[in-house]
Amino acid sequence: MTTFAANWRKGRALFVHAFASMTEYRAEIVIWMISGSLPLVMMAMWIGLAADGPVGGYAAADFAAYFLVVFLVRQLTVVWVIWELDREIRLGELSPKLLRPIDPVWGHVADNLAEKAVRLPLVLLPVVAGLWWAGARLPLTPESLGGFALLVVGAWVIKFFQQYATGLLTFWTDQTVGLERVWFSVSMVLSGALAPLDLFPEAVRGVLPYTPFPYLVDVPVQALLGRLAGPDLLQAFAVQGAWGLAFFVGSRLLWRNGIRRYGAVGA
Amino acid sequence: MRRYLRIWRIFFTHSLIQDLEYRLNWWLNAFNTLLFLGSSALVLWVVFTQADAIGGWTFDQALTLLGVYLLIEGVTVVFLVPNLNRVPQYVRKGELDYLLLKPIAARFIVSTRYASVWWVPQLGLALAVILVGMARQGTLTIGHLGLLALMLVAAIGTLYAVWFALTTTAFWFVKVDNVSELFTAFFAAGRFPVSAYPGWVRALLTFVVPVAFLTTVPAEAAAGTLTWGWALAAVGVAVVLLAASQALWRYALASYTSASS
Repeated sequence: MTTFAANWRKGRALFVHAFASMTEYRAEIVIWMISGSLPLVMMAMWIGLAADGPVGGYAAADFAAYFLVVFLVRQLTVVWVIWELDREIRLGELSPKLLRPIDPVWGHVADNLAEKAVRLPLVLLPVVAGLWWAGARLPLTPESLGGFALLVVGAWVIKFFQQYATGLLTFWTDQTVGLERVWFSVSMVLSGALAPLDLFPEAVRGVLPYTPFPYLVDVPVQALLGRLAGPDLLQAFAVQGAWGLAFFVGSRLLWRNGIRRYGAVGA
Repeated sequence: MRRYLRIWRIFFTHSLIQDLEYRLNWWLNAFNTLLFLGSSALVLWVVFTQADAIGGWTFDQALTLLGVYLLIEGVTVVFLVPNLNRVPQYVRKGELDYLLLKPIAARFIVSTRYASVWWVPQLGLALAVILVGMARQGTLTIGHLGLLALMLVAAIGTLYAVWFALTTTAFWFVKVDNVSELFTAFFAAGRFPVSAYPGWVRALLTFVVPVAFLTTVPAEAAAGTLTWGWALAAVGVAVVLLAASQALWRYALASYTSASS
């Protein structure tokens, strides 16, 4: 059997198992969905502001479209792997996983993708209904849809490996969940989840393109709204890909060094 | 009463000693609260570069409201979450049996046994934001502070009653561990005055989930714009909900059959 075929079989087995267990958590997934509804609160506030006319170039329907798509992007890129790593490393639950003939990261990736497969239909329904109700029209072209899909995957890759890398710091300290909270607070604002980034003051907007944050929410959203096309879209792919690769490589390095420490503790 | 105060002090000291093990957490949380404050202020700034007011509130009033939001959230995290999130587990594992045997009210132990002391810095920062906001509005007087204190007590009473009632449903539904997630989602709307939202959202936040009484009303007290009608309503809502949650708790205990017997 070729390596590729073997890996394909392993991957499929992991996914099928993860999907079966995730469908058991349907009700929880709905609650986690609701707990990510802060962009909808912001939407209500901005719509209230735009009641007497456009604010910063956005009419009420534009805000509705923007924040509903923000909600969609954040739902499709939800990552919780740090809580798993924090527990597994501190309590030694990682040990049995090390005996398996596959790197534990792929099990987490499978869990995540399976959860997204369950979540996607649950999320699409309210978002589409909301867009229709608010009278927001999206320019659905192959370019905007394809670009959006790829950028959402890219955003998920950045978030997943950023959290995986942070979680692996548990090999050295038990405060990683606190560190993740710091990252979360910053990324919430600077990714555009609370206010459209083009309304930010000039000073902040100048720095943002040099950080990974806009690529987590704002950039995919702009693609679906049809405001990112042609060469700009290609550039967004490239920069987002570079960030994803950086976090991926970082997490591999941390894993290699951390796993030696884990053995040294005798867990 | 004095006996309960003494017991609460022992509970709190115990939590404090436990949390002192994790001193770095204290600083991380303080830093995080500062970051949250900074990012919320940035959002407010963005909003106010586009508009002169949100829902008729000035920047200083909105800032005071942010302080109230932080304070209520802080009280939740320090005092409510560590206690009430354990209730489903008490019921599921039958641990409630031991609490019922103690010679003090079971509701008291269930509600006060633990405290997450590491989040205390948030309470201090929140108070500072409120005071700065009031000073900038020029409403920093004994009268306004007194009314603010009363409204905050009513808000915390309302919050506690609702959350306690929700967790009490664990007696029938057992798995309600995620109730706090739901609550947090709705409470997030409290970072802006309810008048900032479109009409039906405002109605929802006032009459269905009483978020308006948790942050908007206390912030109005601080701004000196609270009418007596709303002040009375806030106290009334708190009293009625507390009484209702107590009735539900007694009913739940009466139908409790224990998991271990």
